[in-house]
Amino acid sequence: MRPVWRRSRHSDLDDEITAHFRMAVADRIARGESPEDADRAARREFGNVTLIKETTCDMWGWRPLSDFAQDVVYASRTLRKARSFTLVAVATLALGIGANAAMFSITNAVLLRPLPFPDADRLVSLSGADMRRTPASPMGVSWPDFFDWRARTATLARVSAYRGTDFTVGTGADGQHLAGAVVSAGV
Amino acid sequence: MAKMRAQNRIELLQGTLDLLVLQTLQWGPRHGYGITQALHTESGEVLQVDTGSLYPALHRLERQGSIAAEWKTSENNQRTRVYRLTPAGRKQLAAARSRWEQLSGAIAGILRGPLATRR
Repeated sequence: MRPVWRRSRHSDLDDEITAHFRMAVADRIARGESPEDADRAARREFGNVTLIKETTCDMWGWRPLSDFAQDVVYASRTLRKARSFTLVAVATLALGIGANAAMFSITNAVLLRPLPFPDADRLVSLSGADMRRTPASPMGVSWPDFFDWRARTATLARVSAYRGTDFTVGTGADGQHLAGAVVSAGV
Repeated sequence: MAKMRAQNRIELLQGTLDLLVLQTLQWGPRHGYGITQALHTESGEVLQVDTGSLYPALHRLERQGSIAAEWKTSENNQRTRVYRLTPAGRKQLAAARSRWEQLSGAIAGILRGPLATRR
């Protein structure tokens, strides 16, 4: 099967070569050869017709493109024939690509994209630690501790606190429950 | 007999086919078979252009814009593709012809040898 845009040009070339062949045979007959001899001699003179056509097509300059189109057609036909294999292959690819995309968007949000604050690379996170557990688990900080840290810090430019919580925004039927945080002034 | 004919045949020099094709189209449009016939008779039946060289050459020349093609129906209702020279082809023919005359003159001079100049 040939790509659509080439089919007419190919049949044109067929016609051109066929016309040449017929005229050669007709001339030989007119010169007195028997039709069989004329046909045979013209064929011998012609040589490999497929090769002639192929070399001529090469002159059109889009052989690589049409070869590629042919490969695509062939591949899709093979895939259609082996349905279960195609299904498994496509599912595997889809899962692989999906998982990678998900991983990347998490990595991007958490690690790669800088926080939306000026001098985000100088931000540090402080927390309490529960030393009764191994390893020590992060723990909230009391208000008095926070006030002391803020008043006495020598290394930090500013100290702020936040606490994760959730809110209901809107009233009645329009109310929406949203995750958020309570943040002290100065971030 | 076929062998005899093959022996009498002279191979075309590389690069001369374009010149000869353009030359046969100089006095009017022709189809591929007509070009083969013209080259055969006008060369005193010495040159027999291979179909496998002629059609690639015709389509290449057409792509270069030296010749243009159109479909015509002959008297015996045969659809043929007829080629004619374009103005660019005419220029190319003139250039190729003078290059050929230079080359063949130079080769002829060498073959005549130094004796020829002394004579």
